[in-house]
Amino acid sequence: MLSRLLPLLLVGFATAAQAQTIALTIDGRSDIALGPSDCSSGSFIVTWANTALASTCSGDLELWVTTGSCDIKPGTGDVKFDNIASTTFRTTASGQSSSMRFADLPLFVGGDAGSCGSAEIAQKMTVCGAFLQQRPVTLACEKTSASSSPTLSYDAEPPVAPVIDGVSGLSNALRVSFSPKDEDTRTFQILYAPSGSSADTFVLSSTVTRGTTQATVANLENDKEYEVRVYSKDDAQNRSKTYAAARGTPVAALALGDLCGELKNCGNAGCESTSGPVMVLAVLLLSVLVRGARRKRS
Amino acid sequence: MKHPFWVSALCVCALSGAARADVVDVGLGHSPRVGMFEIKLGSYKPSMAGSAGEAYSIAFKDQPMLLVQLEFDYQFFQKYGSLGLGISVGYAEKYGQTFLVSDPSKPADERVHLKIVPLALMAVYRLDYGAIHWGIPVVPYTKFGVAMVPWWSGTSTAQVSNTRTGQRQAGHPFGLTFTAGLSLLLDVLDPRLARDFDTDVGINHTYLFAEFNRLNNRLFNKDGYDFSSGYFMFGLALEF
Repeated sequence: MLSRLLPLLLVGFATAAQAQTIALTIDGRSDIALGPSDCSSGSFIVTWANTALASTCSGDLELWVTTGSCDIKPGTGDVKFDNIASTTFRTTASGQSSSMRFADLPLFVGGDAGSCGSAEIAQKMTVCGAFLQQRPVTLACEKTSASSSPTLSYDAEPPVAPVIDGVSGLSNALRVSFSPKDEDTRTFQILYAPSGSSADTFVLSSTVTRGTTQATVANLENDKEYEVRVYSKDDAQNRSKTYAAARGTPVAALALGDLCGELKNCGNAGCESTSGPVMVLAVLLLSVLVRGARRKRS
Repeated sequence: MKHPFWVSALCVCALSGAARADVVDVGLGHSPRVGMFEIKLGSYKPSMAGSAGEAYSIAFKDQPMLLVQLEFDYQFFQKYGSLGLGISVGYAEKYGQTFLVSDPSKPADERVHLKIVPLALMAVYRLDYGAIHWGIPVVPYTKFGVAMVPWWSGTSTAQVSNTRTGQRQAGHPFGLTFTAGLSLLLDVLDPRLARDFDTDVGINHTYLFAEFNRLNNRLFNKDGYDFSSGYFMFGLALEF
């Protein structure tokens, strides 16, 4: 009899306990990259989502950032957010933490930490969460980690500059082909200026993603030499210290109408001015035809 | 195999005979026919007479363009065949080699293109009396109307370029268009499916067709590119 009842009792306990799961994200993502450019004014907020609201346990939701791995409580050097009150996170499906400045992350605070933006380091930090949850069977309240822990990847190492494979002159434009030399490269910045210009006169032409290996620098003057510079950028928006440079000259190409040289009747457009009235007449004729047929039908 | 025409004719007759019992009642108990939708493909090469022809030949090596067209016909007379008014829109493009202005003997690092969107407004007559009433699965038809061929040409860096003399490489010449074609009524292959097609989605008949088109673009404008051409198109038509 007892052996028959035991599974039923266990299911009953488990249902009563309704295991809570707290999922954490940063701006809806499980991983964000940050670099020195984020240090001055950047901050972030952790979003938590509670998948089962019922619980007889009390106790706040603790959130913190660590350079190590997540435990059920913050360790030495970890940086804590304000606790989320038990009444809030146990009765609401989702919510947000207090805001934390990137400069206050554990990588940059404490004894031998570097300051945000200065050191050329690349390290991951993890956002951890812990709360009291009722265990099945024993019904005891035990500290439990959040089911997901988003990471913050701080990267102050700029990617290696790309390689320019070629520059070809087009009509009022240059086509630049390039390829990355670094796995970290996510985007390419293409800048240009007339040859011999100083560094501060270079103009950003476009930013293209890693999958793109060609870019066109447009609105240039034909028969004038330009210098094109291509930089690499990574996820953390670090720009390569150096750049790939190449020179090219836009050259005008013949239009279709030019291909037959000085011969007559070539490439003449907009020459159908007399055809408009003829078209109107033709449409009128067709409409008369339609009306005639309809009358006959009726 | 020596006489493919006769073999085809026999096949068509056999199909026609087999399906006749089903096709005879086509039109009786079917949804009313309103119009026709066609999708067709063909190889189109503008005549481009004279120097323009030379330009086309240099750039595109005299190769034809692949023309895709959609057509919609509204039928307003269905007693002895069907007479209707049709509009069609098409698109074709061709990319080819161009050369440097500074030294025309040297190929440029960019390509020149020609894009056209032929438009037409036509009177359409289909001799489908036999198909509707006697189950003959072959329908001859003809179309006649006015056409306009918007076109533009440019290079890799410009959709529309100008010639050295400043002429804009775009236009929309008008002309006349004539079509004669034959369509094969596919309903005979599976009359029951054809009837279901009508009941479910309102498609009365389905045709495969081949047609010859004659576009004359030189009647109203003697200058500019000549897009006149005689070309075949093949496609699928749905009568609804």
